[in-house]
Amino acid sequence: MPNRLSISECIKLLDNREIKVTELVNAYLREIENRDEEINAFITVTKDEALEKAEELDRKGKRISPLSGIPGGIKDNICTKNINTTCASKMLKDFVPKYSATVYERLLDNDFVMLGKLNMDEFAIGGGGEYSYFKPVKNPYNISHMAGGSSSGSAASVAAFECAFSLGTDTGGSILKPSSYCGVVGMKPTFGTVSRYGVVGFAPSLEQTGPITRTVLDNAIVLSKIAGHDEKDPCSIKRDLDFLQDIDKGLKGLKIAVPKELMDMDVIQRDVRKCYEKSFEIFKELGCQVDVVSMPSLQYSLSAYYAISSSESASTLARYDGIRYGHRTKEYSNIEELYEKTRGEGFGIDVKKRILFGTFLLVEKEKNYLDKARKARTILMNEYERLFKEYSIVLTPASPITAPAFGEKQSNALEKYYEDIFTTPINLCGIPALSMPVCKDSNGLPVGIILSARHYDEKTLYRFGHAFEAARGILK
Amino acid sequence: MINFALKHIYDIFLTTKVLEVIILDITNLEKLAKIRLTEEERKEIEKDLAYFTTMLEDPFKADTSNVQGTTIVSHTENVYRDDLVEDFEDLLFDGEIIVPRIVE
Amino acid sequence: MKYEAVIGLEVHVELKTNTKLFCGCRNEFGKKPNTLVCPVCAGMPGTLPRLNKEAVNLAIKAGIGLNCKINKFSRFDRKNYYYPDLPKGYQTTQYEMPLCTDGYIDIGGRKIGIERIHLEEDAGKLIHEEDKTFVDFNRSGVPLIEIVSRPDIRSGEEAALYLKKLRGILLFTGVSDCKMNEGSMRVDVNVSVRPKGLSFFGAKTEIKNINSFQYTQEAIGYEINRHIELYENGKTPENETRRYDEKSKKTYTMRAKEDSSLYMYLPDTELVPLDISEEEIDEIRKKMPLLPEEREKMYVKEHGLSDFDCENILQEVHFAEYFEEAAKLSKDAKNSANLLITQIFSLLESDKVIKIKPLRLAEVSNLMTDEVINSSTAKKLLEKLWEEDFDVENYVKENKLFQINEKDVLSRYIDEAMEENQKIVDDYRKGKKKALKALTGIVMAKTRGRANPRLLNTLLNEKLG
Repeated sequence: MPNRLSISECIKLLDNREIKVTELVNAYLREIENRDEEINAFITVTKDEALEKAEELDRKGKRISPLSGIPGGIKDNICTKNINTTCASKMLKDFVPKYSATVYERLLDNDFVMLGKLNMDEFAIGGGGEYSYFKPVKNPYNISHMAGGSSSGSAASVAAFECAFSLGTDTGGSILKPSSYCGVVGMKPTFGTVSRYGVVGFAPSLEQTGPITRTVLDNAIVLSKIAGHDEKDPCSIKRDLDFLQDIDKGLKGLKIAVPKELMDMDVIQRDVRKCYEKSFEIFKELGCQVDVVSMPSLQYSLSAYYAISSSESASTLARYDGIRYGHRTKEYSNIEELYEKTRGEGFGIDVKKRILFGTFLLVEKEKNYLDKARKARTILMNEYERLFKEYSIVLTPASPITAPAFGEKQSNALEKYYEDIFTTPINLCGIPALSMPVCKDSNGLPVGIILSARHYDEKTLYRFGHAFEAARGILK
Repeated sequence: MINFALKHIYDIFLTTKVLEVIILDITNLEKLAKIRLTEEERKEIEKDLAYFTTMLEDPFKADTSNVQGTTIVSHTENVYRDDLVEDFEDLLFDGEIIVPRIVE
Repeated sequence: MKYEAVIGLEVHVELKTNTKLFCGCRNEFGKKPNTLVCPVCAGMPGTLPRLNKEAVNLAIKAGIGLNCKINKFSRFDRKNYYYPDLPKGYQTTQYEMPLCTDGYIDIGGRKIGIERIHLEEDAGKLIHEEDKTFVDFNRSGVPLIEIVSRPDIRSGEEAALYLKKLRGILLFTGVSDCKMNEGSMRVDVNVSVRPKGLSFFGAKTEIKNINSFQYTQEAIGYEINRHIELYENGKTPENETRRYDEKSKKTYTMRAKEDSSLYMYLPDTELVPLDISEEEIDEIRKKMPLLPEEREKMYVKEHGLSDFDCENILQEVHFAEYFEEAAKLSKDAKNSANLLITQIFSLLESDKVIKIKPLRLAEVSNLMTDEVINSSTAKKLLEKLWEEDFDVENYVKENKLFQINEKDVLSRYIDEAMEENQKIVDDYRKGKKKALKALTGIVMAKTRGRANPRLLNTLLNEKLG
């Protein structure tokens, strides 16, 4: 079954003409057909286009890029010209953009085969994958559990062998968390590495697009092709893009920081803690030094993240007003009613929650929470900077828990947001991070870790990840 | 504009100490954000936002004297475009854009 | 009680760029609705702004022209509000850190402070019909600067003077074409009135979107009187937004003033900050054209022009350039200025294009200076030149348009006229001094307008005794 192969394995077979692109694509399409009714990873499957592209590539024969002929899926908040881009929202359920995100154009330029658009939490807000307007994404390891979000379909589709790779977007852990819940490899690159143009975000200062794959090497291969300066994104940076250069160098003598404050948290599930500690052992065996360090500012990250992301969302999502495109309410007698009903009907509960909270923060002038949050962000960044002078990476669990079951009652809203305790500091600081699985918990659900590094140091993350993956072996 | 009603609740998650919770005037926020909520949604959101606001106090524990806020982790500045025309060839809208008569 | 008005102006000016502030769409007026739009300026999902360098340069130019401090560091913010012509649900503007601050305009001895100039994008336009409103996004994203004065203005006259000076500076620096009728210059006024000598501020009314400097002056005058009248009657004006009706020459309530604390501002994190170096500013400073004030000084000093001349010529950049070109070629630049203002300007059509080469104006003017032709011939020549270009000296020769400077020739014409118009001569002698003018006209007609006017006058007086 060629869809079980990694990208690097596929590349060999394709290069040696041992497999046709059509065979590969058909294998994936079959998997989607067989399994996605259950998993709900896809919102749109572009079957005809995929087959057409596969045939064209087989005819052409020449492979212009490692990604040539490799089938992938795109999160549905990444604009794809002439293909529905819904953001899993009623607001945009019929929206067909007349432009493409730069990151999608890059993949097309590399002759990848587009399989379709992936399900997500509405407007990338939410962490479970259950807040899609269309259908909740289910965890391929156990369909009564969530896939994590917001890039739920991106993680689930790769885990379920419905895609060789996918693109997700990450604002506060939206790649890292679902990757961990679904046992796949997710990368949130340094802010400014992958163009934001055409990616429908909600908090621009925090957002990055990144690849989700089944192996670390595959991940580095995809990132190499989507990263790079884009003049359409003012925050896009010109930087070194050789992510593979250190991947085989091993880890002897490298230092890993483990934040004491997170270790002490009693919210971490026992199984998660066990797996996390197991990862220390693996890294030590690989020749690393693992030190427990203090990062007191981590305690501010959740609130700083929610303040900043919510306020940005209240502004960024203001454009969905029913005037020019997207959902417009059926009956209205004046403009105010048009706005209020359109946005009331078009957005789901989690999006509304975020917008209203953000609106509160924008009009709240007395305490100026936002100012405090921005200052906390600076403090946090300084703390990371200090750590990265001595340590190559910071190692944390991906989430305090494994994928929760649907319908599992959370005692309050905060508990749900505490799932993001390990991921939000990463976005606040714009640093790169890699999420990968360590082992399975007693219910057979994957448990993941997050490796984060200094700005622009994805190559070190891949180096750690690649060595770790080999030492860990098959996920048990 | 926003009614701050202070209410004390037990936060079962963060700590066991008593926290101040700000109950937001949701109806006013709805007006500002142009979102009409159903009664059910309003209840749920009211409850959740109250929890959110408890969290907002965290950064106040930090010593932020002499700290400049970060709005963007930007490694670039002065990113410009030359003043050259790029026409968008595709028809952007399906037809005229009509809204209810606006009285100014 | 004596009152004093406290007036501040907020002027929005569209920048003269080829393209919009954040995308490559054309910055043009008067095109078919929604033909100058792209995903960026239509606020489509996921699109990002790209800052137009020229817009920043023009804003800096305005800052230099208006004696501002150009801030090294500035940033864009989002001003969030909902309106159908605002595609993103926020206007990208500069709130906390504007590009320019602390400038002034000198309005003849008094300095009116300028608090700030910031760069921002324009919204689209609403077109109202009976039962519905259409939205046109062609203007959405057009670069604007907003020039906010300090409340230093005390009267409608001063406001008009400030606006005139401001317009001149923006025109001559090439920042904007400042066409009020096309909306590329828009004026909002804040008026309050207080007892003279006190420093508190009275209730403030804002008058929005006034269409001309004249109306601004009138509206302010009306508003000041209205406030005073209310105070005199023991009432207070409302804090509100009003509009000026040009027909009735009154202001009317539009809406209660928005509570500015309800505007939701947020730094725009799709854009990166501006960090403008001293060198960049110097580079622009070096290329600054002469401002109207500097030109006026030069005109007065070098060419002996009057205030009236300067004001007329400095109305438009191309008038000034035209005059300066003609003056270079003129023996008497003041005479050229006179011809330009009295003759040529009366030929202008609405596009204000001068259809005569500056060289020709200088030629005509020089023939006058040399007393080869008189002013009425000059007028005819300019009218003819408006239709087609020709070598003036040749034309004068060929058509024998020389001024009649010979005493005996002119005498013959006068005698003839007096003989034929005995009644007018009698009238004059009876004391009707006006009759002299009639006779001058008759002689001028007989000479096809070529008589030397000074000589004619002397001879007529002699002959009529």
